[in-house]
Amino acid sequence: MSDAVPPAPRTVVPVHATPLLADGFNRGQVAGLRHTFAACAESAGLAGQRLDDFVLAVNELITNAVRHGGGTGELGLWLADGMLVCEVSDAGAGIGADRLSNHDRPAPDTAGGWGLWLADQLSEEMVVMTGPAGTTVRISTSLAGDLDAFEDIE
Amino acid sequence: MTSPDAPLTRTSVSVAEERGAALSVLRLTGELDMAGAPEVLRRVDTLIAAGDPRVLVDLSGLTFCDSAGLNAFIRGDRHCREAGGWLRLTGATGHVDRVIELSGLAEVLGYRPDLP
Repeated sequence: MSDAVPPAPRTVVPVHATPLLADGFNRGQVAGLRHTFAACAESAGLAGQRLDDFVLAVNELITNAVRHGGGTGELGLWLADGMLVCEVSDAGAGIGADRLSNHDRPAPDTAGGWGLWLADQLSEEMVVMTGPAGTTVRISTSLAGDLDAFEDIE
Repeated sequence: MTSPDAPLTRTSVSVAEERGAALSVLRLTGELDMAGAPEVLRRVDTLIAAGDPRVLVDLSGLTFCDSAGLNAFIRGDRHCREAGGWLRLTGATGHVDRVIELSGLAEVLGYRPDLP
């Protein structure tokens, strides 16, 4: 299916880093890729709430790509400097500046707008590169870190 | 990557229904994502059409819930309210509970028997 998607946009991860996972995906493969990703991140040493958080964050990026980003996308997962770094790219029409600049939690009676907000909340760092030719979102989480660094619900 | 019809890709939510006079219960089991969220909303709408707009969604069997799940609950509650009822959530555990709390839905749609 990789011939169905254009070349992946520029990556910000060092090119010498060997990906732990690199895969294309489409609408029917969201759950399957989520499970593959979870197993991969767990093998890399991510565990507990950090693992669950990162899996949900990546799930949101995959879902955004298939729903708003043209229906297909590419996912890459790397280990770099003790961080797990995941990039999800699509060839959709891009994310509007107003959406990107808004980091507020959606109102609890608002359907929509939750995906990027959750990805941001549930990762340590999120970088969005977007334009009319597509979107790449990179999120990262540290493998062995201080849990207090996470925004917690308590 | 697996082929689109591999068993792995079929993982989704299953919905069991228990209708009652005061309220009806939808028990969700499995993983709730964009593949299963329309089914949850469809089941809520079916209850409303049958005259049961008071819907308690039991999340105790759910192991995963994403933004599509949140949207289904929010839309479902809106549909119930339009029919004079409500949709409430109960039983979330683990990471599902974390997401429900983090989103603020626990506060807005959390089930309290004394105050629906």
